Amino acid sequence: MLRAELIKLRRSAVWPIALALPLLAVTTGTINYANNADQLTGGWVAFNSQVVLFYGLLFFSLGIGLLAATTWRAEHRGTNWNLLLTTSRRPAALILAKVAATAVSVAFMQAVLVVGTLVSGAFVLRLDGGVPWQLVVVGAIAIIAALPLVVVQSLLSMLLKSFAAPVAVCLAGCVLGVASVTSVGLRPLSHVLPQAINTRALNLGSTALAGSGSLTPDGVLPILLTALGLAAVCVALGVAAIRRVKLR
Amino acid sequence: MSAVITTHGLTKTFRNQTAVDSLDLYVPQGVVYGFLGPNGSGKSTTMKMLLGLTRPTSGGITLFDRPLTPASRTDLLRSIGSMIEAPPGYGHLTGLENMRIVQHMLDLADTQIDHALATVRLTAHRDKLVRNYSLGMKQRLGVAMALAREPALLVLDEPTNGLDPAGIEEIRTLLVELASEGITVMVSSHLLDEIDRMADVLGILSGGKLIFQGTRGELFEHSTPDLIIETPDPGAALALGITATPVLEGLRLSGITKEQTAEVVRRLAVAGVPIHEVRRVRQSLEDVFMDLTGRGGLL
Repeated sequence: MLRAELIKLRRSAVWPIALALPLLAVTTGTINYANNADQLTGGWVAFNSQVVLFYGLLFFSLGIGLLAATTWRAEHRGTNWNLLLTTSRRPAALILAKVAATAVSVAFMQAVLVVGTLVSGAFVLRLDGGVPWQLVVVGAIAIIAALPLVVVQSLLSMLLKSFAAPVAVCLAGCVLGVASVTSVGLRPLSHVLPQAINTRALNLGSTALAGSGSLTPDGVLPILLTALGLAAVCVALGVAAIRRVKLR
Repeated sequence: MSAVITTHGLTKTFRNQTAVDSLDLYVPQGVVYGFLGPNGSGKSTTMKMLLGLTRPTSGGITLFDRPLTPASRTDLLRSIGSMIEAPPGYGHLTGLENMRIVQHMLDLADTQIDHALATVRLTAHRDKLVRNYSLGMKQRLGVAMALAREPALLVLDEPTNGLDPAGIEEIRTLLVELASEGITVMVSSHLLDEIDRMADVLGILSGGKLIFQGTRGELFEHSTPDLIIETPDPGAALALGITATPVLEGLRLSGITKEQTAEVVRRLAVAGVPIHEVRRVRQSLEDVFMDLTGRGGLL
């Protein structure tokens, strides 16, 4: 089933999205760092913090919403949905394959971010020091942290059969996510809201966002465990939902 | 002949509107079953119910002697290829990539994919993007996707929709070939000509109700064709009080039974009216439909 989903990604519109958003983050981060070089003296850590600031708050989560909507769009066009529902596969296999396919494009987006950050830091800003391994680790952690949102957006895109509606819901979640990570009162929400989990994961070790966790087991494990648990719950809900949709 | 599909009182209601009303279908094994009806008569809804894509409001479905339930559906679908409403397909992928998707979803062998493409004569175009396919090629790809699993039952909803006469003939030939290989084909259409010459058994739907089900021959029995009596002297025949319409060859009599035919011929012979030929008018399927639906027009 996953192989079928991977074939669908060939020549798909997900790739321009997965390329553009992280490059936008790297570009804005580079410009911001270059324009404030006198204040931002932290080298790679400060530069990466600039890159992931808006990316973590908005671009990454919004990108996941767009990628999931684009991945599902192909099913809702024409009668491909009928094709999917007349296979003899279990609903769980269908959901997991779609989630995995979306996760592949999310991973690509992260790879572009990390490589773009390294290239820009080394060749545009000419930052000193060796290649910071933290960038790669945070990039990988963010992929796992993104799973709940990947599942939620995938389910929304499956059920709503619309491109714009699930993306709008995602955007609303981003706004709530920003509020939850920047306000003390809403902070508990940042531990369960998928968009906020993304923000917290990408800002591990960051100097740009107050209250960012550190890149230590104490900072990383709660994010990873919450993400995996939440993703599992969402998949279970999705399987129940598709059973109802299937024999509507 | 054993049945591949049977339904009992199959009904689907959307809010206050009954789309399919108490359908008792009987689709024998190994035939082409033509499912006829005008647009909106409930054909697609019925086919969706047969595939478990829509839940019936009431009634039951039996496929291959097994009741269709959420539990049995997955297993039953392994033997059913389908194309509902329009051919599926991912436009940004090639024909072969589309077939590979079906292959991986159903765990099929390469040979099954190659055979399905060859059957619909798409092998030469398999590396072309589907968005660049003609409508006929898209329809054939849809049939190939349905065929790949080597189904015992093929459910095709309007597979000739939008095709030119050559394309229609191609699909018609293909479906007849498949039926000759033992595959039961249920094919719907709102156009009579497309089903005529292809279907062994017909089911006619009108306003959600099944108004006829049976062979083409049985359908013709529902209607009595007009009788033509060739005579050079129709005036003499009419003078005997026979109710008929003068035509070029002689007389045309409507709604006349075999017994009445014998009586008319006897009276003409006794009166010495020359009779050159007595024959029934050859009816088209459309004429029969018109009779069946009270000339209200079905299609």
